[in-house]
Amino acid sequence: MVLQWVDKHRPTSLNELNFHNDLSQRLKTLASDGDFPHLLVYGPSGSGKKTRINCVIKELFGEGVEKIKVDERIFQTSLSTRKQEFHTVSSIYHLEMTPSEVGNFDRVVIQDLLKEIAQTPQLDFNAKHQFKVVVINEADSMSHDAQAALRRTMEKYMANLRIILCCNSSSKIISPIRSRCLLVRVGSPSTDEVKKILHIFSKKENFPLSSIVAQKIAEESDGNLRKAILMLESLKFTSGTDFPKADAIIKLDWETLAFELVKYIEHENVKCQIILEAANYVKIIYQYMVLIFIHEKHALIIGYLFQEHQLHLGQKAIFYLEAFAIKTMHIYKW
Amino acid sequence: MISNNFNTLSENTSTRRRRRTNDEQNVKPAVKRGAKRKNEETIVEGAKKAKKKGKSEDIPTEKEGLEGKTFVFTGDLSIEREEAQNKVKRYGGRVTTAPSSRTTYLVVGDDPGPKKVEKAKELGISTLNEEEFFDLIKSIEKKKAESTANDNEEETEDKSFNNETMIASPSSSTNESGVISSPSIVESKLWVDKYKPKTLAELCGNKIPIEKLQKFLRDWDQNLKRNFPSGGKDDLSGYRAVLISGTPGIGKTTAAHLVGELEGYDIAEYNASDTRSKKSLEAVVKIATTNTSITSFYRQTPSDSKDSDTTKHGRALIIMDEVDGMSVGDRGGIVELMSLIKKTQVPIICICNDRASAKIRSLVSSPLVYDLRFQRENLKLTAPVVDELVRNSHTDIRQVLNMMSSYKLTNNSMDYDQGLELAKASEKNDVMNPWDVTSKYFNPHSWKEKGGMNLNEKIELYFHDSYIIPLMIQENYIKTKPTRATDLANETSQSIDLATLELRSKAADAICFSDRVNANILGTQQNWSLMPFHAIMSCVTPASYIHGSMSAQSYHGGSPIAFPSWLGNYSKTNKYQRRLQEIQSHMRPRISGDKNEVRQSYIPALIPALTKPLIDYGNDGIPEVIEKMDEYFLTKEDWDVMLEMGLAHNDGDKILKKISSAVKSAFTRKYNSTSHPTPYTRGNVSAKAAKAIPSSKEVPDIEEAIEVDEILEEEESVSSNEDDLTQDKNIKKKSGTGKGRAAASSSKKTATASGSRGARGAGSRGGRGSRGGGRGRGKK
Repeated sequence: MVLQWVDKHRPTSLNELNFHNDLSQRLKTLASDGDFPHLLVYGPSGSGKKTRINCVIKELFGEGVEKIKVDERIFQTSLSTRKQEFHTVSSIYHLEMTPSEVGNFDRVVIQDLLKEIAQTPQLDFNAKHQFKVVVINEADSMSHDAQAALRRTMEKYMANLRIILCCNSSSKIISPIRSRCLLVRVGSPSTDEVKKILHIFSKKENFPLSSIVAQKIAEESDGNLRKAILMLESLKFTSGTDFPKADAIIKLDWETLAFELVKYIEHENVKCQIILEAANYVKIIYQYMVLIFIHEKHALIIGYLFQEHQLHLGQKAIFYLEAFAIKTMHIYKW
Repeated sequence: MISNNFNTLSENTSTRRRRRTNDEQNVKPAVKRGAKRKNEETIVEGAKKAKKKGKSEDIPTEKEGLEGKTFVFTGDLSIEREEAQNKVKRYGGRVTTAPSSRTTYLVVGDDPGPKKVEKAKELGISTLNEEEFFDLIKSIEKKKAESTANDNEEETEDKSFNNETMIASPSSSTNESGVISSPSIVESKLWVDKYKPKTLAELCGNKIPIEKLQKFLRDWDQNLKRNFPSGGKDDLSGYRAVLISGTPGIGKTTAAHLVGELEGYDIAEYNASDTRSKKSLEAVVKIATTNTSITSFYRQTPSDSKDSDTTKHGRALIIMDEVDGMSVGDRGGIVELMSLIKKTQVPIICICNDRASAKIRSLVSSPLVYDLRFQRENLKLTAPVVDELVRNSHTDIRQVLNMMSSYKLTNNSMDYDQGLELAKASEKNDVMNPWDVTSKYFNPHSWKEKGGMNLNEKIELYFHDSYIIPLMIQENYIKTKPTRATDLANETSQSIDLATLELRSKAADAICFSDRVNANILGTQQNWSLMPFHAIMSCVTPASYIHGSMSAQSYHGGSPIAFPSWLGNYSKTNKYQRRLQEIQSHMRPRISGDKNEVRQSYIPALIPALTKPLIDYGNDGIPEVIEKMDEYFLTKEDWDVMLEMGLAHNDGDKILKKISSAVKSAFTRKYNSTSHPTPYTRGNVSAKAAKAIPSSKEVPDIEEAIEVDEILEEEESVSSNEDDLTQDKNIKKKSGTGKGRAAASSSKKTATASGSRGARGAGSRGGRGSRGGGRGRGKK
């Protein structure tokens, strides 16, 4: 197996999970009880939402859920002549989809595909439960219409279907849906928890890990466990057979870019080119730059967070990044 | 001639107006004289004379208004300068920008320009201050009011006179001025056609090109006989066709027709209203080029008999009008036209607006076609009304004539204010391009309290193109040197740089806000009533902060205003998002994150893992990389995309440079030659795919059956983007490994189900779903 460690050693049952133990316990009780509700799982990325969801499904249906396949569905909407590709991951007990994959057509996915699934009862009569589970990823980037289309389906087909919504923030989920779900917040692991898990990994992979390095990685990862583990592996990979050192930790590429931008802003040198090159990741970079300014430059600038809120409501993220850059330059120069 | 006619027409109207107000004794006899002649042209001439007479005898011009007086304004007045200028023009005066020997008055306001004042002194021009100026205007207004009151009685007589002329003119048959007029159809013609020039002398401007054209047509027969000897630079004898280019309304078509007629050709015109595809051109034009026109046999008019060169008769002239308008429907038209020109026996004149158009590039560059350019006249007419009309129609004669023609339907005269109104009304039809709009927004002059634009006008600008203009503002707002910065710096005693930053920051905030408004207009909300608000937030507010001169860095020698780069980046972002989605769906069975997590965490970690072995160990590293890729179901394409997306130390280009090209090609070869697992089942559960997902077993029969049906339907509409080779392989090979068989059988099924379309779909499925299988066989 040459998988990245994060995938190789992913826990597959609720018992294997190493942090948020009381949450794991609660989920276990839920799953063993016959009356399983719709779930809305939310929390920052890398906090183990998806892993937990998979564990819960396994707890519900047993080993069968691990036999998964990816399907590509192609459908054409009446609104446009373009064909939409849509991927689902499914076992016989559950199905996972990301409606936001098809942008504004996500409503069609919910109305047609999800409803179709909801209307078909479970075929395997030996299954532990007579409902299927549909996991909806990136629920917070679903359009308002799609969410509205989901409302009634969730109630009407309760007998055939349970929905698990997975998202980063519950604020973009419309309240009717929130009220139909059991809200499960999965918070980021603390630095100590990340450190603990990093040490578990070093034991599994048989290499020594100093607590200084673990501490550094845990801090750098901002509570994103996935990032922490991938960083650990990268570090091990680049240092080869050597003992991994803290100063060899490489920042992620877009983080480096954000730091570069911060430098440009400080010296009032907008390399618009670079900002625009990064147009693909503007939102992340924006957030990360705010973090840099708050954490490292100790400059909490009023309006940053307001502007970030605006960014999420707006469309063209680059506008906000630019406004942010100019505002910061202005404040710096003042 | 057009302008001449036009001039006299407007003078006619102004004369009428003047007659009402002024010296009846002087004007009336002249007009009566004109009316007796019962010819519109001569009436005008008469009126002209009347005007001259009136002028020479009316020494106290105040009585007449401001006719013949020229004003120059300098400095700020208490009213907007434009308004003051309008006042002058209303009463017949002229306004120029700089004093000259013909200037009558210099109106001096606050802060006068020192040069103007000095020059005025030099020339001995009398200066007026603001008060004196207003007194002058007031006195005229007063007199006007009085004289209109006096005139009321005579109004009736006036009207009857007007009626007389209106009726009289069509019935005229005398031909004094040498103008051929056919009275019966005069009324039904547009003015544009009615006053179309009938002789070369009447054509206004472009004398040299027209002479060249005439020479070209005159010498055609000779040149044809001599088989087109190439002459000198200005000699047209070596050309078989002429391409006339120039802006609309300049008289290209008219000139071509006129010259053609005068040289005795029969004209066959083809314009955008005819289909001009290859076929129809062949059919229609070939007849015209090789045959003799029948009409020439009928024609035996005196003018023709005078013409000594009888050989020209019966010759056709082809005018291809609007060649740049040869559209999609006229496919192959240009090519056919070119071949036509090569062997033509008759002269061909091609006419276009835009000689830079890509469509007619071949015409322009052809050695057989003479490139004749018509340039716009700098039209100068004295009457202020005409000035205004001409200015607002952007010197488009046809438009001016059309405007006046339609105006005549309801009114018989037009004074200055009405002219202004008419010009304003037709101005709206004119769409400005985004560059002009942006520069207008950024132009400090637009923001001046006096003479600037008001808020509504600024909002109007946005509506010239509500999609692109906000983006243009966003792209360029950072490049100005805000004029407000100086004031702001003085007020708050900070440096200009800082003030500039503050202004820019405010502009940026407004732009951000506009984006939120835009989100409410587009998308699911569709609140189109917010558009004026969007105009304010996206264009007016930012421009109000940062208007100023643009720094003169222009990269291509053009305007410093750049086209929005947002558009390009937007499509690039979308492309990356799609690719990322693809990668995520490949990796999905192994990972838990969504596509953003793939980008943020996995790609930075995978890029070294997938490239370092190639850098460090060369060819020996290839198996390691491929093993890793297979584990995550990544394709070679994904590998390329990942590197393309890398930033900073993961910059794909830098990494690719480190890998030697031999290793790179070996890697590609190796990857293509081996089989790879794929996470897609796509209906046919192949042996390879099953192996790739180790725990996957046979799915229940019922579901598989349903799935296959479903997918067959779906697949029919799949548009394939796989390479044809793979498809062919899969369709042709009917036996092979387990997987190959599965693919082949299913493709057969679909093919029979729905003909060729189905076959394509099956091909694509075979191509994707059994890529591994196909390649596996290839190895054997």
